[in-house]
Amino acid sequence: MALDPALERYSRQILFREIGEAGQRKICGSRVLLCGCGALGSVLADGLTRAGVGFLRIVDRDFVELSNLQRQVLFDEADVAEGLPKAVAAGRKLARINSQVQLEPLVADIHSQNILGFADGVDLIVDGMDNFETRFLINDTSLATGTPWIYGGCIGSHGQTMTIFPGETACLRCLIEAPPGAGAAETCDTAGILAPVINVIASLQIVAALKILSGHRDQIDPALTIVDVWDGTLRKMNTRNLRDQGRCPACVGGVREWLAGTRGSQTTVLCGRNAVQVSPAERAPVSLSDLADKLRGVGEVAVNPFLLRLTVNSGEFIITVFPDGRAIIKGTQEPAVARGLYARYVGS
Amino acid sequence: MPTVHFTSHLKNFVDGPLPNVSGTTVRELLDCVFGERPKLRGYVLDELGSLRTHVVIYISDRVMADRVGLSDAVAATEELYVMQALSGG
Repeated sequence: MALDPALERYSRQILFREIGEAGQRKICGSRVLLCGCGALGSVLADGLTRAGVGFLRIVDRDFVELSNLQRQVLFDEADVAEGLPKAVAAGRKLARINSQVQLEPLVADIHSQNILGFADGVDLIVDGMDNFETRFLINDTSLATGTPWIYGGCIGSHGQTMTIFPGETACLRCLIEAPPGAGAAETCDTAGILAPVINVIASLQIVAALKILSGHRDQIDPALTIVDVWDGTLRKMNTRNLRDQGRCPACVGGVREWLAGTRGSQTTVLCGRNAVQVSPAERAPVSLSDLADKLRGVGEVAVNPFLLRLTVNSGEFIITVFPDGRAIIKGTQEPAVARGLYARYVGS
Repeated sequence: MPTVHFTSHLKNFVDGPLPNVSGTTVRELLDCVFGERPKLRGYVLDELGSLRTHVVIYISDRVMADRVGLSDAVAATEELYVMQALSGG
């Protein structure tokens, strides 16, 4: 029987037995929320659009910079020159790739007050974020709405992904109780990142998405997949016993601290100073000397026993970090910009 | 004897090859590794010696249960795999 002309562009995907025409129709009728459109997010957006999801909502708070082009495959030098928000630049490219997909690019900072709106009516949430805080918020949202989500994270040559079916499989808080304290973990801006690991992890996330959206969620292992592209290794760590341990406050205990807004960083605009104070979600002492070691490659660093001062973007932003993890970001009055800079250089 | 592995990201804190380890619990095995690697110890354990909240230890294919005392038993044939969740993307 001849293929429906509307599905012709997906003919090679349909030939893949596990998808088939019935699976493709389900994919075409699906609705997906993509949180973040940076490195992971741009590969995810590209893959999901080409695969033919029916509706793709892309939420990102950032704008395109030259240092993004090494790995953020949807963007180019013209986007940098125009200073476009990533969501807008992505929406323009994706519309040219597949006009059948209903795209909704949104320039916004995801937080506890708006995430339920973004997640309204979607079948799946896909993680293209660059910080723990938003991932814990996505995790709470998934549990509260019963929407599956696909975690992905990368640093250096190393990446991880895990699919969460709320109430059925281990969730992010089953795996890690809480995000690291300020400055306690590396970020892509302090430890670097190889583009290929982004492509591998995002590709695994897309495959998981296609399984879910085409009706094959039973073919997803309850596992954390760990990849290192430098070593050429892939391990699947069993997550079955994580939820069974019964100590997860979120999926076993029903606590939604991140969604309720009782956990998470707080920002305060400092009037008349063109600055925003960011107080991290996890209050823990910060070793300013260790943080200085991490940041020396990314900007001008000055440190004394009381504070660390990092100057980036040729002086556009000055980030002053205090031993309690609090930071004052000078050069902006936008909390979203300040949170983004904090996530990149201090970690959240 | 058991073996101890760190994810490639944590290997940044490991100078040189890991020593042969001996012991029957997670704590004993990690102490063998951390002896002369205080920075690695500080990355994996907090000031009280408990596992940091964003670090996970697998004993073969199961997740270590005692994050405070690190008292889970490890058989001679098993592997300890120390990893952390990643924030980047």
